[in-house]
Amino acid sequence: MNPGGPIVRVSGLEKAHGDPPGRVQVLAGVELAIDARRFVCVMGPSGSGKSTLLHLISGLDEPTAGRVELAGEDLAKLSPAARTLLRRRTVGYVFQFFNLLPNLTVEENVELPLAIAGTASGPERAAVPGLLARFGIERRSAAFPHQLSGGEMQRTSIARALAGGQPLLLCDEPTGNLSQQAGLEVMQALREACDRDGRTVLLVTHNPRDATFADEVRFLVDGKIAATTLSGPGLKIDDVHAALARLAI
Amino acid sequence: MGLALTLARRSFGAHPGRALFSILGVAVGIATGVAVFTLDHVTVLVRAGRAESSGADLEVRASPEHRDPRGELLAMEGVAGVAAFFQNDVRVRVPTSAELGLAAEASDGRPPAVARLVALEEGAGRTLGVYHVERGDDLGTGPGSDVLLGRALAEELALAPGDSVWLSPPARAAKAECVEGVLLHGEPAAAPREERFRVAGILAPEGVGRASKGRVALIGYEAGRALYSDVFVEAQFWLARDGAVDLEELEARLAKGFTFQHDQARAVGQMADERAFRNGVRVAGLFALLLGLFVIFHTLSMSLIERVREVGALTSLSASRLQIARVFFTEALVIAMAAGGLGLAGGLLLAKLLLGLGFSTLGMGPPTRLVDVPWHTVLLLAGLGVAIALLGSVYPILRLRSTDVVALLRGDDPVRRGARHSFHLFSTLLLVGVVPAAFFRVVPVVGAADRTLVSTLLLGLIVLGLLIGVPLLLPRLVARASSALARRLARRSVLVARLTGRNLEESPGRVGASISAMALVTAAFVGLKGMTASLAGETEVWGETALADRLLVEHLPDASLPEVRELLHRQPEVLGVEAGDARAFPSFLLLGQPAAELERHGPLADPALARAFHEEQGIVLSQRLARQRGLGAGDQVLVNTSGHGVQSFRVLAVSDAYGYFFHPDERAYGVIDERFLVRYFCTDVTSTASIAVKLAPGASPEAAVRALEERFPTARLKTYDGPGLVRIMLHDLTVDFLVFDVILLLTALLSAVGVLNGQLLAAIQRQKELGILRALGALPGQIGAVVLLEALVIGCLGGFLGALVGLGLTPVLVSALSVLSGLELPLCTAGAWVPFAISAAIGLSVAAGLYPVLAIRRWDAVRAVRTG
Repeated sequence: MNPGGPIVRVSGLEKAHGDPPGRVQVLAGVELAIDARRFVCVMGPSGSGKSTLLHLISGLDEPTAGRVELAGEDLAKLSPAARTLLRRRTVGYVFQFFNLLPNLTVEENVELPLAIAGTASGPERAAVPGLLARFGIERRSAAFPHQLSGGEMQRTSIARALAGGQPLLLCDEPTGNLSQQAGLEVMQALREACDRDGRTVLLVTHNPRDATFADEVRFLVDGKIAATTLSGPGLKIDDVHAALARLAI
Repeated sequence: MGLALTLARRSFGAHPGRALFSILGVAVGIATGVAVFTLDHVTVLVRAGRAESSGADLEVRASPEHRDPRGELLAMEGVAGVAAFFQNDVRVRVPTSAELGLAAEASDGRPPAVARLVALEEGAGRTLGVYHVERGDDLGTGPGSDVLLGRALAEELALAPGDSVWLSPPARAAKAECVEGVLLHGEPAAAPREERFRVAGILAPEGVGRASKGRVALIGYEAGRALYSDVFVEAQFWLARDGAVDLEELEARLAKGFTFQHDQARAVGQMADERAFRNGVRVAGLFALLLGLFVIFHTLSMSLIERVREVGALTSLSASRLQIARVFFTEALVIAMAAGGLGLAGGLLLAKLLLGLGFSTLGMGPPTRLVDVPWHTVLLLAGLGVAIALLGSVYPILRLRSTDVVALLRGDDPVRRGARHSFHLFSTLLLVGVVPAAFFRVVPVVGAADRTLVSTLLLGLIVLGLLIGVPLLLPRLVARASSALARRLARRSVLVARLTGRNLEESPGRVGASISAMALVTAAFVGLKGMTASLAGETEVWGETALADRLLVEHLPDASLPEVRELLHRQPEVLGVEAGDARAFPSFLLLGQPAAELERHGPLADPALARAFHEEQGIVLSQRLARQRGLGAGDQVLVNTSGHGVQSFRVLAVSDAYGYFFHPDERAYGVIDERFLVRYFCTDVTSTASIAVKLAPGASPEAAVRALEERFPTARLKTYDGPGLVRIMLHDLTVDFLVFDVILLLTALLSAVGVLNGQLLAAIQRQKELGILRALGALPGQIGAVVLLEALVIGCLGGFLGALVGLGLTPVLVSALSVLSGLELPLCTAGAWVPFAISAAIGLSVAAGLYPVLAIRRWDAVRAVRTG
């Protein structure tokens, strides 16, 4: 671990898909550092590499070049199993498509990180009912994902990301599949996770409204993090729109 | 490239493992069926080829009291045809040039040949198919007397169709006849009378044409009677058996009034125990084919779920029903054709390998080459497999085409469930009804389809239907049982227990099919081992009577049998000494033993029976012969003798206490007093190379062996005690049944392929889910444990269910085998094989889960979490 230092540090990060001549350079030297307990948003158009950035930070994918430090650990130096264990300890994921396990109930989905860590029978389990209540899904705890609304699914997904106690939440377009109102509730929940639970939130989105919940907004342009940075709290949506216009996103 | 071909190619490319294992499943099923039938075909062909054959099923003689034996035989149930004939030697002379009105030639001095003459009822003989004409015309087509010559005789005398030939009974010295134990030589016969015949044709070297290695002349029955009018000729009959009646059944009917001898070549594989064995092998082949098809249906059922959306997308894009059907048909055609070709080639290779190792459908024997391939049948078998696989592939698509497009696009569960439900019903009916019916049409049962055989087959099909149908009928039961077991087995890992439990609950069809496949093989294995245990039990029970306290000695040097008996009777524990060479074969094995050697044990210990045995032509029948002929104490047995015509012996007892020597297949015999054997067959009973010594109960054979060794110090005597012989026979039994083990091993592999396919397809369907787990920090080992636990549950349930079914079926199978084989079988169970079978099912299932585990490790978690 890296007490006091950034929880995520990315330098010279590159990622390309495919082989020449059809090779596509998705990320071309990303530099990014995220301090603990901060809510950081990375914005960019579709296909700009936002999701790829999250996959590289979480160690799900491997970069073509550059370095990723997660909780002070250089991912390149870790074995696949060690990377998985670091992700398990450090990262909670919130996906655009919810990615709940269809065969598990809401409660079981929320417990999933504990089950993976082998602590589902331990004291950690005690936090689960509280999370269900906090996200308003306690009455749906026995329901299966296909019986939920989009908002309920995403709230379940956030509860799952919090249940494991990981310090970093990686959120990939969490409102992309939700209605206006449901999206708003999800963003409030993520903000609360940062403020109340002390989690670091890294949100990637192309939704200006979502960006206004962040402490800091960065922009991914042409495979790199642009110099333009918006700082919150109290960001206005017009500021975000203006920045996007400036960067021609 | 057309849409159908493109989509099929992409589907193979996306999931090569699925395609490969589908092909493998059907191929192994077809290969087993092809191998089994080819093995049986070659076994019978080779064994029949070693034996002399008349071409008719039975050769029958009638005792003089029959007024119209031909009519009686024709009226007998199970007789398809009768032809009277007689055989004798014949002198064959080529006419001289002078007799033909030609100038003298050097060949005129050629001496006549002596050959075998067969005089046969012309029309009936022809329809019986006991001969075939290779060149020229058949009998009775010319104006005068015709003769057909065997190939060798025609070549020897340089005769061709259209030539003339003189036939006459040979001028023999005196006929030797066995009368009262003495070979009598009669007066030399008078000079034979010659008759001129036209050579109508040349016989093909089969049936009569093969007799005396082709040195044979065949003439009409009446012409023969006229030619041999001065000689006594005994009329005999060739009988064709009605295929709907078993050989023993017909023999049992004939035994009541005729003596007979079945044709060795045509009887190969037709005896009750042989039929049971061959039918067993055929059923095992069918079982493998069914399991192979079950595997592909299982795979198709899984693919169907995966492809519901694909059908919806194609429908919404206005693809016609024909186009959609073509997409799936193309893929299925490639799989089925590849499997058919691979199965055919693999089956023939397997048959070749098994034959080379000495396997046959009549037990183990010497290694044999693949001398012939029954192309017609094996191609039909392969075609059957391909056709059923295709039918199974196209049916679900035909079902889906009528479903609402929107529901298809959503991939609604009811649509999936409905399609799966209907597909299960369809495949169960196909596998339990259509395939067995078609299989037995292509490969009919050996012998008569009697009630016992049909009931046994039906029972097998019902069990099969239940095992295949249970997942369909009781999906919740299967799901809950397997889920409960999974949760119990993985109590220490919430993740593995929960995910496995839920997966099992969500896929009752898949899990049920895999459990069924495992249960079927386990049940077949346990049932088979129960049957072999019963056969072994029968040998042990029989051994207690036939071999207990018995010492068998082989390779005795030329020694006087009375001297050997005298020597052995000096040992107080010796109760009797039987001679192995005192035997004749008048349609069954007949042994002659002095009453004095038998009357200190067994049924002849009763003085009244011993007296009847010695004085009144009594006979003791072995259990097997009595059962085969349907005879019991008090019945009469007709025996065709060398010089005394047909003699009748009264059955005194049915017992195996006497007469068994060294050959396991010589358990059907009768024992008469040796003086009758001498009188009617002129058999030498003064010396023998083998003896059986009956000892007092519990006595050691050592003293008897020592006495013989001291008497014959240079001889290399071979001795066996009773228990030793039983051990040898039990070993032979195990070896004979190895062919079933091989087939079962193949079916076990098939069921493993089924489990593997199911697991793999389930994993493919859950690819996204497994990727999410990886993203959430689950290690590959944890995900692998979920797959392996599923496999373990399938193995456990399949193994235990199969063992239960197998144990339940064993009494029925043993009882059916008892009726079919004519053996009195004790009921035994598979014993220690039961836990072995369960463990093997578990091991195999878990091994089958390893490939999906390895495949999962290679999957890309990023791709899984990116998509909706």
